[in-house]
Amino acid sequence: MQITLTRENEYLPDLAKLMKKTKLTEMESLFEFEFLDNNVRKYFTYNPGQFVQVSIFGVGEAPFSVSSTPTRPGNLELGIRQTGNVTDAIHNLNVGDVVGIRGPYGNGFSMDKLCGKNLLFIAGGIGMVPLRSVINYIMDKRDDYGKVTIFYGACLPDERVFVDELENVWPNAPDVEMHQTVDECHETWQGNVGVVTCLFDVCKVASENTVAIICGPPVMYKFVVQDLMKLGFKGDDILLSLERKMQCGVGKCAHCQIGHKLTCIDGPVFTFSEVQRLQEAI
Amino acid sequence: MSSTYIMKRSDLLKLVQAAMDEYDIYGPVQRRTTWVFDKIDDPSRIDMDYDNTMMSLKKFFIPSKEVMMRFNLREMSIDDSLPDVKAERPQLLVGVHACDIHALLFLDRVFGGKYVDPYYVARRENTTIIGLNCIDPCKHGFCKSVNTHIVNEGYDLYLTPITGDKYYVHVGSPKGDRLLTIAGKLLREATDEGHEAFKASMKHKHESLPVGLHLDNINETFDMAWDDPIWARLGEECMNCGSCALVCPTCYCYDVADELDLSLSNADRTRKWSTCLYHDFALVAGPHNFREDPPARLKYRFYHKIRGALHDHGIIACTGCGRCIEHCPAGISVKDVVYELQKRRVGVPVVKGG
Ligand SMILES: Cc1cc2nc3c(=O)[nH]c(=O)nc-3n(C[C@H](O)[C@H](O)[C@H](O)COP(=O)(O)OP(=O)(O)OC[C@H]3O[C@@H](n4cnc5c(N)ncnc54)[C@H](O)[C@@H]3O)c2cc1C
Ligand code: SF4
Ligand code: SF4
Repeated sequence: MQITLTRENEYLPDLAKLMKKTKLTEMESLFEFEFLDNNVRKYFTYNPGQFVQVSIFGVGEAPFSVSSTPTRPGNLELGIRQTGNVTDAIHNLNVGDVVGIRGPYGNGFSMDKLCGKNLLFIAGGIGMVPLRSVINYIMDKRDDYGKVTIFYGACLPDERVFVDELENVWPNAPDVEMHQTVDECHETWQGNVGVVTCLFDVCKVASENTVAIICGPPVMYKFVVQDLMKLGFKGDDILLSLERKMQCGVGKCAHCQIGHKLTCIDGPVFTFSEVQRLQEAI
Repeated sequence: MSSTYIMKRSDLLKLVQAAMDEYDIYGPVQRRTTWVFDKIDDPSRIDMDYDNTMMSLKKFFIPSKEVMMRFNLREMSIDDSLPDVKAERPQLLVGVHACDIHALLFLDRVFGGKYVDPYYVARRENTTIIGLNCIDPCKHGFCKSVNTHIVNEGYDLYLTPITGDKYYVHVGSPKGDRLLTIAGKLLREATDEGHEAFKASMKHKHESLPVGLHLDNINETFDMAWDDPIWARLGEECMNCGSCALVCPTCYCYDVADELDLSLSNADRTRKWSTCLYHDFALVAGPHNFREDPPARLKYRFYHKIRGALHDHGIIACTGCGRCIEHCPAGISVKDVVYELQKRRVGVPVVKGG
């Protein structure tokens, strides 16, 4: 097993071993990887909101947001939905199997700038994958940030990811308010029913000194942003994490271009003000 | 002051012949109704009076298909092809027009920057360029309108045709110095007479190249023009064949795919040219296509080349080479489109006297 460790070639992945695989839902699982190389393990770090490129050799490469937080060094956690060639192959991995990982890429959230702010998280489906990184980062540095409100929407109760944290961890953390909803009613479900924006009626959110952080399926953004604007949120205080097709992750292949910006370099986190100036963005 | 030189036009063939031991040489040769940059074994095939080549020079730096790395799936090891690329024989490109040199300067920005594309850079470093100053217009080009008719960098030698069937030769780099050494007595230092002849050629060039549009306030124009009816009209004509992007010297988009060999124990990670005109270019899992409608993809190409390139790299990604105009089956002309938008939004170009 050998690989030259060099950043001379940004496209060369580092080898990493699957340490643990946990089913989140029917379609999604959480994968924990550890780099084989000691140096990479020691120096690899990231910002919440950044992503990595995962290679299944012989199948291909795809981008995934990091779902763990840099405040908890250890395995790199990725929450991945099974949806095509690469993701099928990832779901078929056994513990101990080796993949390639390179990154981290993209801007991520600037956690320094968010210090002292109240934070409103709005996640839909697996949009929670990158936001979990931010939320747990804040949990670990609780005093540096203000009140945290979390809205989470999924189609069905069984389609929710990170249920343990949603139900048992975050609601019990200091100064955290947690609300969930599902699109379709279900016998075992006692909670809210409706799309994620219905939570604005359940919980009054103030826009003062608050930053909203949104990630979810493409259809969700428009409606959520409309409601936030009504509540007085300014474009600069709404952060969106966008998804596009990506091949290189480093600004060369141009698949992820939105208007005049590259999702992989200028994003994937954009302010709504930026997004407004980018045609086709949401 | 460094020297400039004079060379007989016919001596270029001798220089190419002399350089063969050291380089793989490529130059313009006629093929049917057009020209191509082809491998030169017989220097007399080079046609320095060529109008334009169908394919641009990007193929020498980003091949239409290349293997980036090989995976050995049994040993789980990665074999980077970069050392092989670096070990390739040096290449010498002869007779490169100013617009195509500008295209390389643009690609340098794309493949350089924060993350360097090592394959591109290795080939670029391994390549020597003899530029050719066009002093007469070509059929479809509009270089002077987009300020690419003059180059100050990006070549190793630069040849300007002057009277008496000679070239006025400028040296642009140490690689150019190497060619000087190879050329030996074929070049002699330019005298006042040569300088005068160069001046006359450049006067001729400035008078002969047309200016049909301008780029003033082009950012504002494109920001205003998002909902312009022109896009729907062009969208109906365009068949999303991608030819414009394939022939374009600055269109660089690519796809990456792993290809397994028959033993299933080795795989190549390859990249191939792609174009934003293709249906699956912005298609993601879901499936959700961010540019499902064909007109949206054509419009996107214009926005990326003008607005996006300016944002990312400070220059537009159209060198005015005219290839897409020549090869579009729908007769769509980037020059006419930009002209029409500019005329409506910020006015027609002011052409100063010859
Ligand atoms: C910044 C970023 C972060 C991301 N983070 C995550 C994350 O944390 N978790 C996660 O699960 N995903 C994430 N994604 C999405 C993930 O990258 C994709 O799901 C993944 O690339 C799919 O790869 P695949 O090879 O499995 O699917 P592919 O085989 O490439 O296919 C993907 C889907 O596209 C469609 N498709 C592809 N080709 C065609 C075609 N020719 N015609 C019609 N339809 C086609 C199909 O519907 C298919 O299901 C992220 C994406 C980005 C850009
Ligand atoms: S060459 Fe013409 S028809 Fe083909 S994709 Fe380009 S603009 Fe459309
Ligand atoms: S857009 Fe057309 S004219 Fe401009 S550089 Fe590309 S091929 Fe040449």
